[in-house]
Amino acid sequence: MLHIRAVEKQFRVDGRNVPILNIPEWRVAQGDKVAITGPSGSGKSTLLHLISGILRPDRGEIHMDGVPLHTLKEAELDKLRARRIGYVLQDFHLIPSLTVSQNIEIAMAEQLPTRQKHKLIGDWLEKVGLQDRSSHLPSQLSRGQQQRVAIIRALVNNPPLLLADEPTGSLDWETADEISGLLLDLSAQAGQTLIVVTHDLNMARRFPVCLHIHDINDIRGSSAAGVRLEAGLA
Amino acid sequence: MSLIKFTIRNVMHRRFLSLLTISAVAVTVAFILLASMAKDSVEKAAEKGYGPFDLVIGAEGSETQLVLNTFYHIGAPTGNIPVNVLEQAEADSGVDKAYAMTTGDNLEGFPVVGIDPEYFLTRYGERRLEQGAIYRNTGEAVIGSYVARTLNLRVGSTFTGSHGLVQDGHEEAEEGHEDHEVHEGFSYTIVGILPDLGTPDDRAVFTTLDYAWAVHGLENEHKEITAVLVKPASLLGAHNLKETLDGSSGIQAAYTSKAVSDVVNAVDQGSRLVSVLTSLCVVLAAICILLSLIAAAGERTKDAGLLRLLGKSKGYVWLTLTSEGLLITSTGLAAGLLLGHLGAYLLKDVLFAQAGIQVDPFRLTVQHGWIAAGTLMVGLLSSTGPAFRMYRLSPLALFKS
Repeated sequence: MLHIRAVEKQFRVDGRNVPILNIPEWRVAQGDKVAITGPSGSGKSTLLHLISGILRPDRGEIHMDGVPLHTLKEAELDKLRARRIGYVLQDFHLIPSLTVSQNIEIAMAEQLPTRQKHKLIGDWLEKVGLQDRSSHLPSQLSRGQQQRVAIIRALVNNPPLLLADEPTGSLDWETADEISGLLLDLSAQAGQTLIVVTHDLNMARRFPVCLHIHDINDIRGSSAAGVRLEAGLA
Repeated sequence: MSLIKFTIRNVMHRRFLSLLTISAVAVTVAFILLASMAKDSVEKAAEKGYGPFDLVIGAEGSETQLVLNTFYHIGAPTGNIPVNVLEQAEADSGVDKAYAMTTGDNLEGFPVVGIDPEYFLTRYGERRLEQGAIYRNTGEAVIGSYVARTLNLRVGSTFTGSHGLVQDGHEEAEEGHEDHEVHEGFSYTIVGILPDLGTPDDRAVFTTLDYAWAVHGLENEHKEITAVLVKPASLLGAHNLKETLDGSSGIQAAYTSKAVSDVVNAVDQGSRLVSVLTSLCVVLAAICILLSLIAAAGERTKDAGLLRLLGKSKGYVWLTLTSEGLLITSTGLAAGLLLGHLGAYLLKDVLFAQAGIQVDPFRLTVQHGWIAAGTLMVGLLSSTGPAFRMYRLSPLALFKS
């Protein structure tokens, strides 16, 4: 599903280049559930940005189902994200002027008939217990409810790949646990690949594969031999 | 979700700022529309205000004052002239028609004009009266349609005139007459009502030429007239008569078109000032739209990043802000057009009564198209900068604190 090879990414900080990621090779299979942990600034979020195509690697290749993301033009990446990648964020980022159902609808394919869209949204809201909140504004929801809406927004197009960047980072322990379960359950039902970046060890432990960023980032020198971690086997 | 729905939600979400911006656009559009309608009306009134009477003879003084008083019933006459000037004009071979006019009284502020009833035939052709018949005898009067509507007068109603050209507390008094006594001893009977002529004659009362003499009990040797309206047989005829009479014994003969064009030029000067004010309003409205959209773009940086992350194109993000600018502008435009027409409707009576300017509040002109196109263009241009800023945003903007 995902194949990352010889990817390097540096950022320029205070006039000098700081290496952030150096991934010799990493493969993730369709349906894998991977949690990535690591300290702040270690490149976890950068990895998700590279996979989603909103950041380009300085070197190396990223393939998604055989499509070389690193060579795609911006417009092609936009289309790919719209169809094939769902993204859940730490701060949910629901659009404040739109209702719950509109926040979901805005992520949906334009060509889908409106009636079908509304039916789909209704079904999803029912799945997460928000069926009576469809016309509420984000400001009228709790943080946990907002994150549930954000999860539906990411899943509604049934993308094969779901990325989540600290999805429980703004939630209390109990809600975080609930959201972790929801993400895992819903993505499992749809057979989606789920890659989650998190500081939350409780959440990470629920994943079949839990990697430290150093495991996939060649920082400890193990890249000399070319670390090859097959997700699900590490 | 359609872009228009998304745009409406965004505008409604910031309803106070949106309302302020819409109001600024609306007031500007209304102001431009009113100014344009007033200018248009002045030019139209100037065009058809004097009919075929290319020459006017009156007492020495301002040509403009003479023409405005004679044809537009505005202000005071320049004075009186001997009645034999009419005979002199009628006898001139270069003259097709000549009518003497007397003024001096008013009915509730509307001037009472003494003139030969044939004037209407010469000026307006075979048009029929709205009601009744034309006046024939002293004391009979025909009133303009606006006078009839305003004072709710009908054929058969009687009234007494007041001395002076306008009512107390209104405009200027006739020169040399400070008093406005009511001529209780002389009563008029309305025998006819004119149709809507679309000229200043709509707001005048017409009666026989001799009314002023009858009201004041003047003998033949003291009879005077205010002006003579001349329809020349030819341009040369007009020129010759003007050469003969102009400057002789306190009399002036003026080309009506020249005096009117002086007035129109003066109006043009005034409208230049209005144009400057209008431009300032447009700039202020554009700044309002710009500031509103800059604020929106600032507020929505993360929303734009999110849209990009969701796979929306740069063009879509550009459109979200541009359409917001255009929605605000077009709402302001629609409100401004309504406001402008409503303002014209409310002001039309005052403008007509005070200045003889007839504004048609419901008439659509090509100006409307220009105003609409210009307003939308200003909205589009004001939106361009903030929209371009949004266009350039990377999805990474979502992750920046």
